[in-house]
Amino acid sequence: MDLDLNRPVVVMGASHPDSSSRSNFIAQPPIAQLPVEILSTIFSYIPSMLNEDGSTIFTYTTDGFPTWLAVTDVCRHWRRVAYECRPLWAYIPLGNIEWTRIALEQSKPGPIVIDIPDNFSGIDVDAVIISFESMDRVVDFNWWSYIDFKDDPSKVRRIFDRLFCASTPTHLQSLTICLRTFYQGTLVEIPDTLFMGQSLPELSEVTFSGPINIKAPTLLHAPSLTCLDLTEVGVGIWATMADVVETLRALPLLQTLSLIQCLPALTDVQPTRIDLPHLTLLCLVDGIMPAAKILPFLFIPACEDLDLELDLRVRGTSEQDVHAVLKSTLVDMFALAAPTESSYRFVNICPTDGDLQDMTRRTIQACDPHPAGLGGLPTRFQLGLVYPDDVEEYGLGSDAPLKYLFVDTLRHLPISRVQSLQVANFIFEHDFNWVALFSICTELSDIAVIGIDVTHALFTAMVHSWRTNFPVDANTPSPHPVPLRHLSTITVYETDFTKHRGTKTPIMDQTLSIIAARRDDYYPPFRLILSDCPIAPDKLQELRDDMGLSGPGDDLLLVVDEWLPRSLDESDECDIGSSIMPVS
Amino acid sequence: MPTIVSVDDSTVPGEGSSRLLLLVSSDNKHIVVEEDIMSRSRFISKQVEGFEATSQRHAILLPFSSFVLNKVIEYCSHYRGYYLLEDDPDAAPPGRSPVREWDQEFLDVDRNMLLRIIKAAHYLEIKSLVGSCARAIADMIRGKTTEEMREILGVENDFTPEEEHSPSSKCTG
Repeated sequence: MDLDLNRPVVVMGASHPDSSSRSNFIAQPPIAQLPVEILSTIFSYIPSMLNEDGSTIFTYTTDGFPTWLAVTDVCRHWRRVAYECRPLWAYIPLGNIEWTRIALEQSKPGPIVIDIPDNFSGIDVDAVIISFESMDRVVDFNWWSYIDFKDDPSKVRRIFDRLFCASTPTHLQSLTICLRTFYQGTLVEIPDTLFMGQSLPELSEVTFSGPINIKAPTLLHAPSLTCLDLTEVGVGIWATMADVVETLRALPLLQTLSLIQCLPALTDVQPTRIDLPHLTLLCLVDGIMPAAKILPFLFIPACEDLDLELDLRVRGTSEQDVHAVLKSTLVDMFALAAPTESSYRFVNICPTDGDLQDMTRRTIQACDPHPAGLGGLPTRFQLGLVYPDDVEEYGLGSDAPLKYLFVDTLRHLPISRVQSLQVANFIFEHDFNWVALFSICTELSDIAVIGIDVTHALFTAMVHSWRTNFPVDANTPSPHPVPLRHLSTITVYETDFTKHRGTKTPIMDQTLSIIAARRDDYYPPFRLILSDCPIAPDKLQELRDDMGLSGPGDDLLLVVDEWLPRSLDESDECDIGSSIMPVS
Repeated sequence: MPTIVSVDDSTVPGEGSSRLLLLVSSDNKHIVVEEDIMSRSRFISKQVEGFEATSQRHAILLPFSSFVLNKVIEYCSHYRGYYLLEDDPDAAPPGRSPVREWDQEFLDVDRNMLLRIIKAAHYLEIKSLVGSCARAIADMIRGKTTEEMREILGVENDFTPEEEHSPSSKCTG
């Protein structure tokens, strides 16, 4: 040790740059006179925080007072500190011109943020326009409003007319313009020239939603743009295939691209190659439109770890459209993306029109596998994740006939190398063809079943089917020629099991008893994980005992990640026995 | 002039790999801590640099209680060896990133303790801890009315009625 206790010790500490603070440190009550630097630091965080409901704090009282500036009214000391705290004023109030002017002045010469809040109420348009005079200091512009254009289209138009006109936002880093009520209100025509000629070298993120010209990102001339999120943009108004291609090709550094319901009106669709060498996230979500218009592109992401979300809510379209979409999506795109072992693909196909069910199935079955040399699919594969809430939001119902798409789609893909399969929120039916699924994914080592519609009965059927059809033991006769040699884990998350929290329900008891009775049939080292499971901790050991899982090294491991007390809802129960698949 | 004090043998820790510092709290508790742990404090680091020129051993007298000092040491120990962006003098100003989960639990203390910690962190020039405390305090008053802020933090209203309501008067502070 360096500390020699036999040597004299010199007490230091008197050299603190703020020597007065030491004498004040103990004598004063903590809050009465917080040092200016501390109070200023606290104030600087106030505008950057969100309310508990996730909304921003940029709200106003009825007289236009910005609520986040309430700290200026607490006491004289706080007011003095607040007025010297530049970050506090960087968020320009827009409810009252007087406050807007004060904020613009107090924030000089620092960067500022303009945030037009959701409901547009409490906003003085004149204050907004005044703030535009300092556009050269704006780093973040957010306009996310729900506007009734019929009531006051002039309010929106006035803002658009002056936006970016007073001065060029040369330091703009993030631009968000999301105007909802698109389908309910009168369209506001946005001129092509809105962003024309603006050079924004620092702009990295753009989010547009609503009546915004899809050409805008190109016209902004933002060569550093890395994130582009377009939702319901240019629908039937401005967009042409050439616009889209021009827009994307002008953004060579793009890493994240989301095109959500913004391409339905394209009429000049031709397969077009677009190289996006830095793309790591591609989200294509469309709906209520001809499906063939959705994927006219052959995106060429060079990145080896692309997250891909395709949500094709096909409706009112032709068989040829479905065929084209599925083929281009599932075959061409994967083939050209040259995925590697580490790649991750996420495909979400949700036809929602009941009439499409048979047609889709026939289409997929008729879809020729891609010629040899596809490059293979990634080893991790997630198919599904259809959120019922989202579907309802689009008014399309939630009865997607996914069971056909799921297996048959996989059959047409080179999926034999897939090791990890996640099945999420599918609308499974009890006759789901697990055997076909398992036989396609022959290298599976992990299956994760996620979602509200994967009931305990379906899960049991799945395990039963897997166990009886794919024995790993060479001495056990198999009705299927392809054994699953590697499958070791099945994880079930957030299923209907969770409706029985807090107790070992009869259903759970019955399910596990069936599994336990045949536990000798399970292949080692099969591991069953029930996550977010309803079993109370004190019931767990009882269940393990019931199933003969009393020691380490058991083949069937039951894991309960979470337990929360919840009353049993008897209506959730059903007869498990009738849902067990017959043994072949 | 520095004052020479004796060291309480009870403060001697076990073997460590780093040089040891002696910190003396306002309630005269002697706390020995490894220098590496306290290197996050710019104040301590500057003090240690001053030590290098002398052959004497040193203690650092700090103007806050051992209870507060131990909390700060706990924080520094937790992040020993970690790079924290906020402690980087070249770091960008605070954004909307949330308070680290461990910090949230660490700062789950009463108001007065929170204020004492932030003052100690400020004194010791530990920017990351100041920032986390500041966010925690800002979170306490976020979305609150002026009256609620006064009540939460125990601040007295010293405005005249005229001062309280006019933006122009506020502007002049």
